[in-house]
Amino acid sequence: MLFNSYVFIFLFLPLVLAGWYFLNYLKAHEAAKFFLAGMSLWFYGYFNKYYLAVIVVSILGNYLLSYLLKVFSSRIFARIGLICGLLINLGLLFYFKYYDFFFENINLIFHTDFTLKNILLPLGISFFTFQQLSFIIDRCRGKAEHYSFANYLTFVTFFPQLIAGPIVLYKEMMPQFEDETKRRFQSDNFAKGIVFFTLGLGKKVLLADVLALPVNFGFDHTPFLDTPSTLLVILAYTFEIYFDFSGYSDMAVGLGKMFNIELPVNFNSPYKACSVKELWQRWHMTLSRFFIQYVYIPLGGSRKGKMRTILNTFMVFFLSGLWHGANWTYIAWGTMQGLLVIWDNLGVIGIKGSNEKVPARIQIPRWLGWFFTFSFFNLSLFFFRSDNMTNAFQMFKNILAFKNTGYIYKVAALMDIPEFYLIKQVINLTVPEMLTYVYLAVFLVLLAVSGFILTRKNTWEIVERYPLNTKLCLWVTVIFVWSVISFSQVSTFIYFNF
Amino acid sequence: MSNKFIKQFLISSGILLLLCVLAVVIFDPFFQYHKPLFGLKAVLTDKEYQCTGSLKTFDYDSVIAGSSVAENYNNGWFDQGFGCRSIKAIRSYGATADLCYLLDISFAHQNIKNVFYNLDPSALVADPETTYKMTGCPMYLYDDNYVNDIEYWLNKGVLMEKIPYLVANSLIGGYDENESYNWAQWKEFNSDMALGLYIRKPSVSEMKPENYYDDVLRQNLALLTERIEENPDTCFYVFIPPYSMLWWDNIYRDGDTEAYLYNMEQAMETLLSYKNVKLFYFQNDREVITNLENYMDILHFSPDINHYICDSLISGEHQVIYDNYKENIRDMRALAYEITDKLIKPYEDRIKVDIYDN
Repeated sequence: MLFNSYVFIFLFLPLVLAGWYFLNYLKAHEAAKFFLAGMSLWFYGYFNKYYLAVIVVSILGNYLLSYLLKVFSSRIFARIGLICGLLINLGLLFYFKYYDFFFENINLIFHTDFTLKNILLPLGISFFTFQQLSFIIDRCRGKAEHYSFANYLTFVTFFPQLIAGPIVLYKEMMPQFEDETKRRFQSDNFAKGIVFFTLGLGKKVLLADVLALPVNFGFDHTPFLDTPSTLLVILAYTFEIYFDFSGYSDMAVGLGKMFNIELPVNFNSPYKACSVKELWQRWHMTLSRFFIQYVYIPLGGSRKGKMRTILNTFMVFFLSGLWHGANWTYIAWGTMQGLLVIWDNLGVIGIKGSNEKVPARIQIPRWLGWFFTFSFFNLSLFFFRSDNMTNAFQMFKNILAFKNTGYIYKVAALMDIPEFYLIKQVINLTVPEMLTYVYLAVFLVLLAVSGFILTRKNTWEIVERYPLNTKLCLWVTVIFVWSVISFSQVSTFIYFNF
Repeated sequence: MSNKFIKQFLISSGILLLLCVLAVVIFDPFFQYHKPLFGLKAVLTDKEYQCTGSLKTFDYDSVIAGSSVAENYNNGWFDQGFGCRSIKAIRSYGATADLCYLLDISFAHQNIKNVFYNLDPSALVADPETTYKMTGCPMYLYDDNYVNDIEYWLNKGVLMEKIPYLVANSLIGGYDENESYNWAQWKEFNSDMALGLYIRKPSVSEMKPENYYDDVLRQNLALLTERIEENPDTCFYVFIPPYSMLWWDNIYRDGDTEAYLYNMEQAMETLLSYKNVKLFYFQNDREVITNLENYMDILHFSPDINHYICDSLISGEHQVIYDNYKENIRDMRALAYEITDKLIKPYEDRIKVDIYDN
């Protein structure tokens, strides 16, 4: 089920909230947790029941392992448990996400003939796998206790973060599910939850989904793009991916707040960063946190000399790229990020006024740092968004061709959105030849608005700083209603060829 | 403070959403709930969205069913010629199952005197299952479930485009209600267009056996005859439209000529066995199909041809009866091969070649 759907907002959410608070009001706390978990599984399996089997097996396997670690609490068993935990979780992830990619490359390199399985990737498998992995690793290290099945089930399946994060850790979630004060309806949290959810919804539906129109067209027609259209398409994608992902995270945080559950910050205005290193301290923060705690530090972190630090950093970003998808494009993207973070860590170039322990040899102004960082991230997204390396390189070629064929007008024509309908009709009736220019203007305005929003306070800052007054309510209402009526639209059916 | 915020949000959002729903239900641009109100016109331009609704809620006694080639009929021609009140039931590709689905809606809501059924050759070899879902049609308009109509009620496209469009066309646009789903005004019909849109295979496939499509043909005919049998008081005017000679050249190169002629012969034989069916055959109209000035591509003809077909249905011209259907097919076979052997030749240097054909 999607957050941005009628069934979620008008049926699922009211039901799950009512059920949760009602059962807790009756002091049926365990029943409330099972109810919440059951509803979350409905949420998860809404589009495909087969997904349910995967997540249930994963949960049962990990919970059983946790239980066995409780029964057999020796050090040897903890080591065996760790190996089993890694095998279960990463094995599952490998099978569903990386099997075809792996054997495709094996076939290519060794001219073998392994059959690809075209396995349907279960929704959010990367998220719930990492979430459980963190728990099992800490169980084996003796840092985490064994929890009741209701708690564990609720922790893994809690629907706000189930499909796309933030990646939560048991130590921040379990105490909250145990906390009795959180089981009562708290209007302050609920109201903030509404603001979070609605702003996230607006980011996703009103910005990301609209930006996706020219972006998808552009990436479907890479050989035809000229320099200006390539630049605008990648800029639009840079905005789209942020609004999409951070919008989803905001919605998740808002939904958590409605249940009095605090989810961690996942995005903190990453495009305000003045270095790639800083960007990664602000972008998908819970993924970085996972990799730091469970990969970087166990590998030695920065404690084993400069070369190992560089290698460990590189490893984190390589894995981060791979985590995003089974494709060389993601690996290339992750590698690029890693290399730039390593470069930043070397301290050759620093930002004026930053509080680095060891000042960099060359100091550049903040705006220049921001420009380099933002431009680099834009360019790196060619790899992230392209279906294959050829298309990604084609996009670079398009930029370096320095050609203007007017293709930008074709890309901009995708901005034929309902909000623009009446204006379009007036232009059609008065100066129809201007329509293409107007589409381009709409596209540029959308990019400008997106850029402007990114320079303002982010959702967390808005919720923390603005009072819950009528003015804010009015804004939130307009965004909410506008978003809801945007879930469904009228498509144009192009036919004619029978 | 926060309690007030929640109340304000819920009430104001609720009111705004309710207003949206009311606007859609009152104006109802897809005519799901009622005919046009307040003197608004029946502006029918989106068949995927409006066909089902208009068939459910409008008053009519005759249906013009067909594919995109049937969209350019003027309902008034039929209304005057047959003394009826007609409505269009259009589906792109004109697959039999899809058109039968629309006919079922009509029969369920009105007493139907006449069905003017455009039978495309491709409909006889189409999938005998409906294709609405598969092709992304708005299924909430294709069932009687009011709950999923929320996709219609709270729909930015409906609110910001379709309602203004309905109002504007009703009040200032001069929309002609008889021209429902008509697209001809935006197209040009001439040999340059027709030849320009024909990409010809250089190769000629081996001719398929005539009964190549027999299985799917039987299933499609069964769908149609089921409706004919269930509605004995309805007169079915089934007519096969005249595709251009480019189409015949195309199917020849695909090796389909004999199979398509056989399909048509079988369809004629089957349909002519029903008393409430009148069959009209236009494919072998040499004057029409060899004149490429009538076409915008290999099969879509100008509204003049639509008018000509309608006039023929009224006058009985081109009617096929049990005694002459085989003769019609014989004529068509001779013409089909004359096209590929001779009539197409003068145009060959203006036809694009499919360079990807192998």
